[in-house]
Amino acid sequence: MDILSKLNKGLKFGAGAASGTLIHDNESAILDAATQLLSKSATGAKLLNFAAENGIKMHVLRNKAEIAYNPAESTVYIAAPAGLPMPGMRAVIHLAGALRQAQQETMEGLERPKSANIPQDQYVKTFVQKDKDALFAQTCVVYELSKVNGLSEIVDEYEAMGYLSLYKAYQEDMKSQGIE
Amino acid sequence: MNWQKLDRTETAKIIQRVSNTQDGVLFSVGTSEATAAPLPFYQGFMMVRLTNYATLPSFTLDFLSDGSTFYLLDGSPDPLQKIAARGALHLNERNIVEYVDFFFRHVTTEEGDIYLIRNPDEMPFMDSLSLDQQIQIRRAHTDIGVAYNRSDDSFMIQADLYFAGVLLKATLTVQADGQIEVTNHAMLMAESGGTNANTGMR
Repeated sequence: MDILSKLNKGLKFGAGAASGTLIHDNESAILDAATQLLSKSATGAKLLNFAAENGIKMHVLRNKAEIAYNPAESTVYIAAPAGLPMPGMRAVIHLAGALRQAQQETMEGLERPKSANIPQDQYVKTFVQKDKDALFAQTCVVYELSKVNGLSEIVDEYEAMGYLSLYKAYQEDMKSQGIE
Repeated sequence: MNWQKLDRTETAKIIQRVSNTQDGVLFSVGTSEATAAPLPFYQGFMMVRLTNYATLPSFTLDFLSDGSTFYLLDGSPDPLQKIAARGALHLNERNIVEYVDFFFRHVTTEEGDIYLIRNPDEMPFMDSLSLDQQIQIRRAHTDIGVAYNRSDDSFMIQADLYFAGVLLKATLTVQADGQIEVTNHAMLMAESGGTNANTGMR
């Protein structure tokens, strides 16, 4: 397909979602693909076990920005633009991040602040720590799916998200430990 | 955009209206804020933004609303089509560029976002390009041209676009119902940095 066709395919009226809710029309397919991939990674399998044991529900929202979001302890959300497929390799990275955010609620020091009335620097510090922890879990999943399962295209997705340097640093760490 | 913060009562009503999902609530009144902004090409509809500050980065959903119906801006052209079908879209030569810019900011494609280049220095990826590429873009850039076609009530826009790693000089046709079609283009620069004036390249 040439670039003009690609542009006009995305702009055309009538090609979007039929859904009247916030939930993505392809939620089942996106979650099936993501959970199947996640189960192939040791880190991901632990996150899925945590979700199963704690009754964590997973949903896919319709939204232009792709995000991982955990507004409540019992539900995690990822998001994808309406009317478009979400590649499984991308969905699994977001889902890993969202499930890790949910798991953080059981980890001392990584729980979401219960009140907004805490000092701003403490609030920011907590979320920086939460973000670093979730990114580490996502990097582990990407590494495990790439190296152990041979799904190298997931590294391309991680690079597109801007995190190739994290992957490379983790890879170096594994090498230095003689694991790779 | 001229954003106005809505009061707590109004925010609570909006949250009640839009954010309940089957398994939980996306926004809580205590940690969320609603803001609204008028758009020059819509009459009777505003953009409404809900932001939950309980997480970092904060979580945001955008809607188009007349106060009773809320259309989620979900990355597809559908909400814009629905608003136009309700007769709220009023395009003219003064607001057509704003409309095209708004369209591209809120609609995405399988290949990624489309950027309307109004000012090369404000392009989000400008800093990531080499100095040579930045100079090429500034040299090739021309101001956006607008022409109204009375026969079918459409607008023809000549503008620079960035899409799928390619800088294009494109001709856009905007129908009265808000549908946009790219009818012609010339490639100005690919990701590799080369320039080419031929059309239809990939």
